[in-house]
Amino acid sequence: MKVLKIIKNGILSENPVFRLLLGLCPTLAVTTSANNAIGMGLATTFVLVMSNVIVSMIKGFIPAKVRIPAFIVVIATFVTIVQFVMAGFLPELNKSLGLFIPLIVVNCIIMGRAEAFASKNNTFLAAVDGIAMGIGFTLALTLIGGVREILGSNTFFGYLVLPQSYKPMLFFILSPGGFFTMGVLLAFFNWISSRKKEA
Amino acid sequence: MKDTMKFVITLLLVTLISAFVLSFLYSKVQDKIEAQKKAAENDAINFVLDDPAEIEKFEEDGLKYWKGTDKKGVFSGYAVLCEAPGFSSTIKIIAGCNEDGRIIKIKIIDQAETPGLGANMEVVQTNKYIWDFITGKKREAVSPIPFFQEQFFGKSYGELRVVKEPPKEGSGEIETLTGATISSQAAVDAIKAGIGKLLEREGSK
Repeated sequence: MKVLKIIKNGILSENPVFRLLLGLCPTLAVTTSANNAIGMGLATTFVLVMSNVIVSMIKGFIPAKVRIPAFIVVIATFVTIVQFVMAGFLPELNKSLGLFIPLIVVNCIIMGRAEAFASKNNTFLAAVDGIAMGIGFTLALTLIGGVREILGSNTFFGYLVLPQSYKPMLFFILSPGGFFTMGVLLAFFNWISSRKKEA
Repeated sequence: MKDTMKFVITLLLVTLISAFVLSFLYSKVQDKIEAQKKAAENDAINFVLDDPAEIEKFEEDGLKYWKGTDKKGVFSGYAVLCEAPGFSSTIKIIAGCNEDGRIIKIKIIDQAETPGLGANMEVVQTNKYIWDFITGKKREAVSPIPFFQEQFFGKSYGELRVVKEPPKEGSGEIETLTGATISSQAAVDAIKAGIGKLLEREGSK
């Protein structure tokens, strides 16, 4: 039961992007296309799960007052490991995802989950939370990326949508378009949840 | 006092373990990463010189270049490593050219520009529609070379110039990537400087 609740939390009721508003800098930076969004989402999910697992394992040994620097070292170590392994063994994947890896370091969702969940729960639940949050993050990014890609470059996952003579609104690919799309989607999801509460 | 010591020791241990793990892993993958960079570089040289029979490497005062010869042993072109700082990374390009600086082909081998904007310099143009999955329509294959890079082919390095509108036929104009003027300018600057230095060096011999 608890597992199901954690999964629902990560994807819907505590969606990192639309509900917790965490990790917005990479969100706005890479959601220029649906492909980029998925790439970033998957890379983040991996680091999120691994850092959650490690943090929940070492939480007993770390004094509360120095936990934040200790967690940051753990996360940075993981990001670097991912970077090395991809560059060394998966050159093709590295070409497409390599760009996003350094951006994960500035993603506060990873620190946020280490602090809010992994440091208070056991390893198994921490892993589930990592996966659920990762999926929620990936879905949210793909939604924003899809909207921006269709409006801004007239493609979806790299495939054209309208005839090429149609000139797309470049605004949506640039950073102001990112804020705009994010704001409208956020308002939409808030509207849905407030309607639910009233009903 | 006792607490402070505990904090120091914990952090010391955490960072020590992290440093140990990372340095161990790096020593394991270092060779592989180097080998892959080398392979990518070789592919790029063969591509920009249209598969030369033999390649000779030169490296002097920070300028790295290669001389290609064809099957008959005749000089077929230079390839030069060009670098310039872009928007968020150093853009590395291998450019092939002949003696008077006409570009044969170029290939961008390394860049970490903004995904969706500057990073489009490595993106291939598409003509496939998403509806093709439903209608099952087949379309002609398009050029497998990224459209930004294809613009440089056959142009003279001295005439290269960045413009924001579609380039004029027969001029050295390169159209910028949408929303990434700095990255596009950096690519052009890198090639101009790289080929310029190469020709200067070869001319003085």
